[in-house]
Amino acid sequence: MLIVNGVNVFPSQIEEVIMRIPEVGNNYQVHLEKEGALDKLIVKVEIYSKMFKGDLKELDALKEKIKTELKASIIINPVMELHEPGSLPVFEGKAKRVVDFRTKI
Amino acid sequence: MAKQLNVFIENKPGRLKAVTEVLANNKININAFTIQDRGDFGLIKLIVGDSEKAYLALADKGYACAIKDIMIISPKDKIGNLSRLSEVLLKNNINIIDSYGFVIESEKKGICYLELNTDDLKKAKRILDKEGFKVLE
Repeated sequence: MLIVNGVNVFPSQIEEVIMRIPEVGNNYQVHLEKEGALDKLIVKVEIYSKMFKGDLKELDALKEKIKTELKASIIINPVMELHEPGSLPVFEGKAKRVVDFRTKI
Repeated sequence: MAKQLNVFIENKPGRLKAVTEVLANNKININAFTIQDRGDFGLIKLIVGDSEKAYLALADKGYACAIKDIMIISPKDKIGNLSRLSEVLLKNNINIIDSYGFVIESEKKGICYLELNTDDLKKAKRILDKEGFKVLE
């Protein structure tokens, strides 16, 4: 479990949202960073090439859709990043999808 | 209709090189290109010799790409011509989604690429032909 700005977030909640969106691939990564006093949750997903129609408008809408669905599930507003297919690290077996860059106190 | 290949890329060094390298290795010539940026990602829009072959070559390497129908016209290079072109389209309620253009021979001819809604393409071709604009593809 992660604690982001005092809110409990289960990585499985993020995974569940991403997996039900057909326009993104199976690989994703969650980064946690500090921005001033606050935590920043960055969700990186890969575009699924077979669903790509070639429009920027469509990509903007996709970003917004994932953001809205994640917000509804984890209450935190994430920063969404779209990546090229195959560009995020592939994890086998027990996935290490979360990278925490926040300095521990 | 002319074909344009839209390739999704991340906005970071080396991506244009990677895409164009795939095309070079497959002996595909690039006639025109433009890049649209959206912060952390963007699109490379390419007009290539063989768009089907280019699409397959890029898709094979895992790129997210798509082929779009566009229109290429060759207007005269003279003052006010782009204004006249857009006026003709406006009068017929045709929206330009994206466009880029350049001059090939100064004061003689230029090239203008127009991305329109699919339903508008045929209509626009007919109208522009009638108004004396040379529609190439």
